[in-house]
Amino acid sequence: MTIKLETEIAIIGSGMGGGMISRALAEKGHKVLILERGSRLPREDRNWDPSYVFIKGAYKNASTWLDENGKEFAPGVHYYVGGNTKVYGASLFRFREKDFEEYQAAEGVSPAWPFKYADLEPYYSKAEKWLKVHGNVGEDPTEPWRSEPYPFPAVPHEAYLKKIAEQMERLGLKPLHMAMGVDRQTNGLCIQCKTCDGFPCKLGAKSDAETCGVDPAIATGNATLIEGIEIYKLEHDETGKTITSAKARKNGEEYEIHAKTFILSGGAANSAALLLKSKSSKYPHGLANSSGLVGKNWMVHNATFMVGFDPRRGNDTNFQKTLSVNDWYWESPQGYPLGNIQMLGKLQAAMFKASRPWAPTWALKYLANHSIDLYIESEDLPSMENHISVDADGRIRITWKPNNMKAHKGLVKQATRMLRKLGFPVVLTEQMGIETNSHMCGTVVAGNDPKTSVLNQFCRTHDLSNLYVVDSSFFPSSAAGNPALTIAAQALRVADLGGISS
Amino acid sequence: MSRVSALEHESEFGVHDWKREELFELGELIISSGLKEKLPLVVAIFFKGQRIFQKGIEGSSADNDLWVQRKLNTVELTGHSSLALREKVDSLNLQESELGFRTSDLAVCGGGFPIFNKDGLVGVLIVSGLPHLEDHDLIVNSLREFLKGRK
Repeated sequence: MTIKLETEIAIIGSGMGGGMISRALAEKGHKVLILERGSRLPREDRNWDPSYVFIKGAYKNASTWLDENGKEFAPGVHYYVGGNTKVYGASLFRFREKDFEEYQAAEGVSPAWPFKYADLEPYYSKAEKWLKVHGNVGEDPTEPWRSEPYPFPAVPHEAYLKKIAEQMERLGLKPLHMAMGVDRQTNGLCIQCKTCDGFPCKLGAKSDAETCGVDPAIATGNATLIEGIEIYKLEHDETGKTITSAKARKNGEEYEIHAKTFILSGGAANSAALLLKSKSSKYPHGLANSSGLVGKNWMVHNATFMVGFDPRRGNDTNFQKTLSVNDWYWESPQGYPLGNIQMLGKLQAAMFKASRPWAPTWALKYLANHSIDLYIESEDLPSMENHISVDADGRIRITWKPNNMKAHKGLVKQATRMLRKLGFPVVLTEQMGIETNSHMCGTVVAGNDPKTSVLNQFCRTHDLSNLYVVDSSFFPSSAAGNPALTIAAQALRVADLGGISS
Repeated sequence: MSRVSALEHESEFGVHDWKREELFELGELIISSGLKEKLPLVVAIFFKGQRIFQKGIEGSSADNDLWVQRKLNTVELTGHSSLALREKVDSLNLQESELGFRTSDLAVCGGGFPIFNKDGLVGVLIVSGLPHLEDHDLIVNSLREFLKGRK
C-alpha cells in the first residue's frame, strides 16, 4: 500500500539549501514539507569525542560511493537533519564580486554566473543574520562591498593566534578574522571549544541548517519535517513540464508525495543522482537533462591540510578557526589567483591518528600540542570529464581528476614559505583525496542558456516549471571559498524572486 | 638480525643531569673517533633549544647541515631517536609515501638521538654523513664510552 501525502511545497533534503529555503518559504506563509533521508543527529557526549568522530567516523552515515575505477570509498557525507552543516566548520564567507564574473584562472577560464554579486548581496546580509555570522569589516584585502555590517563582531583570536597574526602583519600580510557562524553573542551558547570544526555541536551553538533553518521553519507552524524518508524518483505529467509526485520509501513503506512545487536540495552528488535516476521517455538521459549537463562539472576545491610544527611553541588554542589570509586570493607572485588560507579547528592527536595508524600516539600528542593547522583551498574548474554518474544498481560514481592544480601548488608553496617565515621548522602537508567531499558543487549548473545550463538564475530547471534545485549544485564555478553562505543566500533569493507561487 | 631497538638504546642511558661542558666533551669524543677513521661526518649537539656544538670533518658538506636539521626536527617532534620512527614505520611495512604526510622536513632514519634529564628531553645528539644505522651506532657507542668514563 502506498501512503499519499499532499503539500504545497516539497523540499527534498535539509542541508544548507533545503534548510534555509524551508524557513524562508514557511515565513512567507507557504505550506512546506521537508523530506530528510536522515534523522536528527543526537546531542550526546560523544559528539565531542575525537576518537568516536574521527577514528570511528561514527557520524559518516552515507553508503559507499565508487571512484572511476570502481573502487569503493566512504564519502564525507552526512545524512541528518541539517545535512553536512551538522559537522561543517561554520566558516561563512561571501564570494567576491569577481567570483561572479568570468576570469582567467591558472589553467583555464572560470565562468561567469547568471547573476552578479550585487543581485545576491541583500541575501548575503539576510543569511548572515539568520546564521549569526561574526566578522570584522575592513581587514580582508579582497572583501566585497556590503550594505550592512556583520551582525556580530568577529570571534577574537586566542593568545597564540594573536601573536601569529602580529607576526604575519610584520611580514606584510593582511591576516583577517574569519566570518564564523556561532552563537557567541551576549548570552550565546557557544563556549569556543576545541571540538567545533568537523564535530557536531553538543550545545546546538553552531549555526547549522538545523538550528538556523529547519527548526525556525517548523516554529512558524507552516513547515513539517519527515525524517528517515528517502526519495528515489520524481515523476512528471505527460507534457514533461511539470513534476507531479515524488516516490519515496520510509521504514520499508512506499510513499507518494504530491506538491505544487518541488525543491531538490540533496547536495551536489545526490541532487544530480536523483535527476539521473528519474529517467522517463521524455527524459531518457535523466530528468531536466535536455542540456546533457546533469552530473557534469563536478567540482570540489583542491584542498590541502597543512601543519606547522614548532617544538619551542606550545599551542594552547581551543577555538583555532578565527584567522585567515586572502593575500593570494587574486594576486600572487605566480601571476594568477591562488586561493584562500584559513585555520582549521585545532587538530588533536586522535584526528591525526585517523589517517596515520602507524604513528606512535606519543608523537602525535606532542605534534598536536605544538602545531598550527591550516586549510589551504583553491578553485578547481568546471569540466565535462569530472562528473557524477549512477550505476545500474543505483550507486553513485565519481569520475574526478583534479584540475587547476597549478594554482593550488602555488598556494601550498606560499603557505609553506609563510610558515617558515613565522618560524615553524617543520611543515607537514596532506592533500585531500576523493573521500573528502567538502565543498562539492557544480553538477546541476545554473545559467541563462538552456543549452549550456540546467537551471535558470533562480535555480528553476529550464525543462520543468515546478522543479528547483537549491544547493551547491547550481554553482557555475567553485570560487576559492567555503560555499555555505552562498548556498544560503541563493536559497533566500530563490524564495523571494524565484517565482514560487501558491 | 639481532640489533636491539632504538628505544632500548634510549632507555639504556636513562636520565642524567647534563651540563653543556660534558656535551662539548662528548662532541669532541665523537669527532675524534671520526677523524681517526677519516669518516666524512658532521656532529651537532643541541641543548636546551640551542645549537651548542657543530663540527664537520673533511668530506662532509652543507648537505649534511640539512640532514642535521631534519634529524633534529624528528627527535623534537617524536621525543625519540629518529631511528625509532624508522623502526616503527618498518614494523608496519609502510613506505614513506604512505605516512599520510608529505614533508621533506623530517628524517625517517637513524642519526638523531635524544638525551634526557629529570624534566624530560633536554638535548639532541646528531651525526650525519654515514649510512644511517652507522650514524646512530656511532652516537650510541660514544655515549656508552663517555658515560662509562664519567662514573
